[in-house]
Amino acid sequence: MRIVFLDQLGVYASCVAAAYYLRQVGKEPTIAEILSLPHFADHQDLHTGKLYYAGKNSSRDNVYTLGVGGAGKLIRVSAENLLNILGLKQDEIRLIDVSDCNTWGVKISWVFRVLAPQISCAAYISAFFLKKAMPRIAKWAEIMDNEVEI
Amino acid sequence: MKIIYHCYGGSHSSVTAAAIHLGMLPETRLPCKRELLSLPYYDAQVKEDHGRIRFMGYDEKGRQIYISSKNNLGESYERIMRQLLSVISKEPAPAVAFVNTMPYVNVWMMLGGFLSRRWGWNHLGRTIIIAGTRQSYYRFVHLVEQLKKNNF
Repeated sequence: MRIVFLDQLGVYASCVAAAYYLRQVGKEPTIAEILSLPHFADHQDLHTGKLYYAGKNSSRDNVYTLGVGGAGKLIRVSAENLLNILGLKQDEIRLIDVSDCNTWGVKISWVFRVLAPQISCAAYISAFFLKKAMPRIAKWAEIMDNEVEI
Repeated sequence: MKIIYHCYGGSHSSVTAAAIHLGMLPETRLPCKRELLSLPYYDAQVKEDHGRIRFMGYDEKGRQIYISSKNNLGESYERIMRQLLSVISKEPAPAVAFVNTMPYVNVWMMLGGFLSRRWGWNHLGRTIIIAGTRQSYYRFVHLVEQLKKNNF
């Protein structure tokens, strides 16, 4: 099975959710821990459709993050249909959309990141707001954890 | 081989292009209102259907033709779906072609689609959509011809 965490750009809430799911960070990570995650805030534009490898879980399943804009629900439906038409099993892939964990503060930091990349505080701002959203992110990751165990 | 025509709502341009591909619509003349409205899924999708990939039929070479909707994802839709394909499929990757029909959509199709699908003004919306579809019709024919010529 493959596990893909979705958010708008694949490098914010999805990145933190994947890290929490993979036990790379705890339920209350520090801002420094979030900033040190691979691929965190790693983007120069606002293009969607980029896939990032996050690691392997305890069952040796590959875990990814993917930027899907604001269309997480639509992509889940399309992916489910695509599996059907390719004759693959639905449990080949699990998609979990955490884009609502990217709050307004995180979204503002994207604009800083793209318009003024020389300002290094953009990633810090997004990490600050994601730390605040951590209970919700953890909830999503735990749902995924339970699904995979089942 | 699977060919997926995709547009904003999966109701008009993708259905029209897929129908031309399948020979359900003529290539040498404009279709009439009845022909367009009798197509499966034409002006029939609702918001909850967005993202669904629907089967339209087999073409003359046995390829499966589908339609899908992608809202505002634009070119990103294909990129995202290809990324997911690369994650789920084993080598060799399955042959799937994503065909974007949005560049051939004119303002009348957008306006008619909005009135019909979003506001539920079916009568007015459909009149405008059909006029718009007929206006862009040969562009869809050209798109399908190019696709077949390139041996997709």
